[in-house]
Amino acid sequence: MNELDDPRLSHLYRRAPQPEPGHDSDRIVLDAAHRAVSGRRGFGYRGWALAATLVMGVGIGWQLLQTTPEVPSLSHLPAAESSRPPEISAKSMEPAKLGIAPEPSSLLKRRESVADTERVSAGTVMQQDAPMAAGDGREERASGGPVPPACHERWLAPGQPREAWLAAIASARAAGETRLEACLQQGYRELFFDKQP
Amino acid sequence: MKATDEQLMVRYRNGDGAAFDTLYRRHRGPVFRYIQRLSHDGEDVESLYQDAWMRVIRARGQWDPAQPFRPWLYRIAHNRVVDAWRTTGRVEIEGGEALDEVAGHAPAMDAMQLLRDCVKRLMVLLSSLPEVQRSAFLLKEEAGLSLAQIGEVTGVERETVKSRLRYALKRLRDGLEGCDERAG
Repeated sequence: MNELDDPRLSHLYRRAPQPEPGHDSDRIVLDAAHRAVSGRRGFGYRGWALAATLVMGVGIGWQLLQTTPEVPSLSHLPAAESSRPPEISAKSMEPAKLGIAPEPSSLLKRRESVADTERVSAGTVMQQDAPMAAGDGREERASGGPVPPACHERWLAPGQPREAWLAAIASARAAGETRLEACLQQGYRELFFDKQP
Repeated sequence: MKATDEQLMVRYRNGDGAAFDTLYRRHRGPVFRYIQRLSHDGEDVESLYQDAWMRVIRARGQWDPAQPFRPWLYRIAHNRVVDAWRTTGRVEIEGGEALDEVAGHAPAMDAMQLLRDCVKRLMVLLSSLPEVQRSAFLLKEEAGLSLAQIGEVTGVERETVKSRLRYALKRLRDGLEGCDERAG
């Protein structure tokens, strides 16, 4: 037997009571151990809270965008429409049935009336059918310049989808043709929003 | 496969709190008994025990992963007890009187009762050993450290450890006379 290794003594020692630390000590030590490294992993609680807040904020903002009324400000139509996501544009196309919806009866009447008038007179009567551009027309007649075409004559052909109107408005704006833009906006409003009898 | 102490400690240092849980469960009993049996009567063993582990937690970055974990753990526990001795101004007790009291005390009794009596005598003898000898014995029996590791923990040479252990074992054997044949 090794003088420093006594199995009988070791055996006796193993039979002695085996006291252990109290639960309070366990809790205190383990809590401290976890606290010591809690800030080292990933974001930590604050980081995750911030991330969750951002995600929720974006989600709520997105929902608000989707529930915004369909009628946009006419002066910002092209820009607003082009910035919308594809699903929004598709949704907004539904009422127009992708351009195959029948034209409002008021508009048809107006066009028939205009066509009849044009056959009789080349300019003066047409101003009555374009109330939005009436001011501009009067100014030109007063100045003695050429009589501009009636505003509705500059509209797109019947049956054009909403996107074509928006593109035309944007194009007119880009070209600086404010009158044409106003005419197109008027037509757009009448065709797609002004449906009250 | 069971993770080694060193693997668990590395994981804990990298932020894995669960690794510490495993490490703690593995060592809580032996460390507690080492502190309790090395301490003097009246010392708050639970407080010393908690302090020792707090030091382990705080000093986790100083532990060298190339070195075994257990000697490092017991060095911290040992130093905590020694600090308490210094604070209270206590000095080592030789324990000669206590040894005399229990030596040769082996009245006739049945085997189980004799075993209990011998264990009790061992604990009395152990508590009566000089602290350096008691520490060496506990680090060997409770912590399972080698002579060199005990030297690391207590800050002495391996030969000094051998000497202390030799004296400790002799005193214990002398005090447990009569237990060898009938108990164990």
